[in-house]
Amino acid sequence: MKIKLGCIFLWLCLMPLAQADIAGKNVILIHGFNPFQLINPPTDNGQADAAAYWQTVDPAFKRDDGGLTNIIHWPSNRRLSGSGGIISIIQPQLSALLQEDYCRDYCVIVTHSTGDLVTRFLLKNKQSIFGSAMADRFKVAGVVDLAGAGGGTELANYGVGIANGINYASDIISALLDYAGFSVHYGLNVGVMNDLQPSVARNHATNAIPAIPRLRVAGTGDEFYGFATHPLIKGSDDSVVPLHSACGAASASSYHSCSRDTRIDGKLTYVSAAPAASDLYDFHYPILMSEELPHNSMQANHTGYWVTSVRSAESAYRNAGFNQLAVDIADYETREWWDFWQKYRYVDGTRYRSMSTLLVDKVFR
Amino acid sequence: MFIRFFAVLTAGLAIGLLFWLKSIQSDMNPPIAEVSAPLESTAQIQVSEPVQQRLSDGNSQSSEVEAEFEAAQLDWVADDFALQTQFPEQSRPITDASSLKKYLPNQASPISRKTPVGEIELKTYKYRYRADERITGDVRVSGTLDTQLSVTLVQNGVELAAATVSTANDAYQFHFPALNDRWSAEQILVVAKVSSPGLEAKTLSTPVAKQQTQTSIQFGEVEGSYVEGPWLMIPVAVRVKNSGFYRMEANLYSEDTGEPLIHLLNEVELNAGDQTLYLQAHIRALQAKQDEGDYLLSDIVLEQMPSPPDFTTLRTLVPVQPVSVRGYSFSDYVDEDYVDPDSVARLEFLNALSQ
Repeated sequence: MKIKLGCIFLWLCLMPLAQADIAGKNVILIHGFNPFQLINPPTDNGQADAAAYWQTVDPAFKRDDGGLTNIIHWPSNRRLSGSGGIISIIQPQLSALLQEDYCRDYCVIVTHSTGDLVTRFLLKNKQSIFGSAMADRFKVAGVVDLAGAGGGTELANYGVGIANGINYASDIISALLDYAGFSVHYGLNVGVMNDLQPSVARNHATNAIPAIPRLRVAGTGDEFYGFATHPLIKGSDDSVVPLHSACGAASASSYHSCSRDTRIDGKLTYVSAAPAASDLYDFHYPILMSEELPHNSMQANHTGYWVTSVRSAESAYRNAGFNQLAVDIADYETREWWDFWQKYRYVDGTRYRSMSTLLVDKVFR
Repeated sequence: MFIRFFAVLTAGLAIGLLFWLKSIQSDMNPPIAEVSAPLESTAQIQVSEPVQQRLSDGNSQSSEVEAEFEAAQLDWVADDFALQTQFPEQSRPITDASSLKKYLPNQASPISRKTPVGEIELKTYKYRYRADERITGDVRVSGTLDTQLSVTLVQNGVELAAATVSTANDAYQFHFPALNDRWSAEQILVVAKVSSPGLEAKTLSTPVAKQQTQTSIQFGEVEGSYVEGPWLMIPVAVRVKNSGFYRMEANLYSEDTGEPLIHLLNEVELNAGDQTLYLQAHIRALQAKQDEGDYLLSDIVLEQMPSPPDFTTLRTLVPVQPVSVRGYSFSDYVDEDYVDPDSVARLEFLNALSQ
């Protein structure tokens, strides 16, 4: 009896440490595109690469529970759906989590890049993918999309084109080489890159999006290859994903901010090249933006970036009485020496925290 | 004395300037609780008059007046979520005509590239085409006058066809003849090559997919509508070959004005045989659009949803003319709110983030 009580006590003590937890909700992590898997298809369906992908994300996002994981893995050399596709690889992993009632009290899914597209497909089709009984256990409170690529990226059109023998100019071939780290060539199986072409991505599960809030984090920073990829991508981008996708816009237009009342560098001014509320997919809400944050720093432990908050998707800022954000982010406004007639808004403590830690400390606190 | 006074004055001004520059504008950021009423559940949230107006306002354009009007509606994330989830997922009001594109099936996204003097944009008019129909689209080139354009279709690295190109409305319109049996791949590429004197040739490509001719579900007809509780029921007869999960989506338009009103959706597990699928419009959605009918049902899509073991989506765009749907007086419906427990829980989650 004493041993049993001791075990229960120990379990109760360890339980809070075991679950990935943000805002009191269990977390599921769904990663993005790993280009190197196109030339070196993983033998473990990408499990090891997925663990490495989230290695330096804030510990609050990760489950460390005696080998149990909340990291969903999938290989980038597969298409999204169809036989042997990404969904068929993810389904048993999620089913295992659902079997243990991991989402009984509603989960939060955190995605990066292509994980956005994967998640949208999963949530829209959960009834048929999991069956009614298991789908009822898949309760999701919200999704945090870091650099969400659910609307696709123009880079994918060029990768698919080269794999289909289209003869582009040398700048495009160089850009893809810099991005992928290898030469994309005719006949290469480009896997999920097919699904990332905007026309394809925006035909995957977009018409009636489930009523689950998608909180979007977008950046326009430079990866080392950004100089080569920026010219290929419509509007502003984080070197891989355009804002039309990261903001959650319903059309692949040229955008320079996710909000009509805040520039992506935090300047509080009207921005015409930004989606209005009605231009966003239903239930998609951009909440954080950074001019400096590049694509692969979203989920990594990288610091030093200014981040601003989105307080509405409309040009409402000038009407100060409605300058508010229901998702309350600790932010502040200031004037900068180089532009002190205008105000800038930044998230508190932004430069000393990675994006994931910023979310934990300032959004889900 | 003057120098001391001047030095103190300068220092004072400098300190004042510093405080002004770094002042936190707390007056601009009132706590959420001060400016918006707490949202306890979707059931308690009423669609305010301006929101009704926004939902029923057809072609709203940006203006200073509207900016203030819009601003009055937005408490942003939780508020917007609360507003949207008053309506069932299967019966969602279409805010205005410009929002209709979010609910139209089979749309293609343009791809563009900047040139030193302008921009090139390539788009097809649809994403999916039947093998027996023409593939159409246009190329827009800005900044150059003397442009040479070729548009081809590429399948698995092989050129299938060259397009016929004509000029219209500041664009180069192209079309390919029906490919029929020559279209074997699931996806082929439309490739545009633009060259101008003095500029390096630019190439763009965009995919088009083959419309599947699946036979697992067949559209029959739209039967007579009726009111059941708070719902307008629109029965649709279908013939199912393979049992499984099916989804039907469609848009409801005003028969009088043609204005898009509501996006309808239903997902259901069906057995093989002749079945009836119901599209349902909720009274709250119809009231938000202030339209008692009659209506037109259009943009019908039938899908076999992805399921084990192959997780393939089989989608059929139903090629029927808009179908007339009888409307009823709002007094014929049970006047009750729609409450979704999942949405209430999600709203609580969003509100918890605001605390």
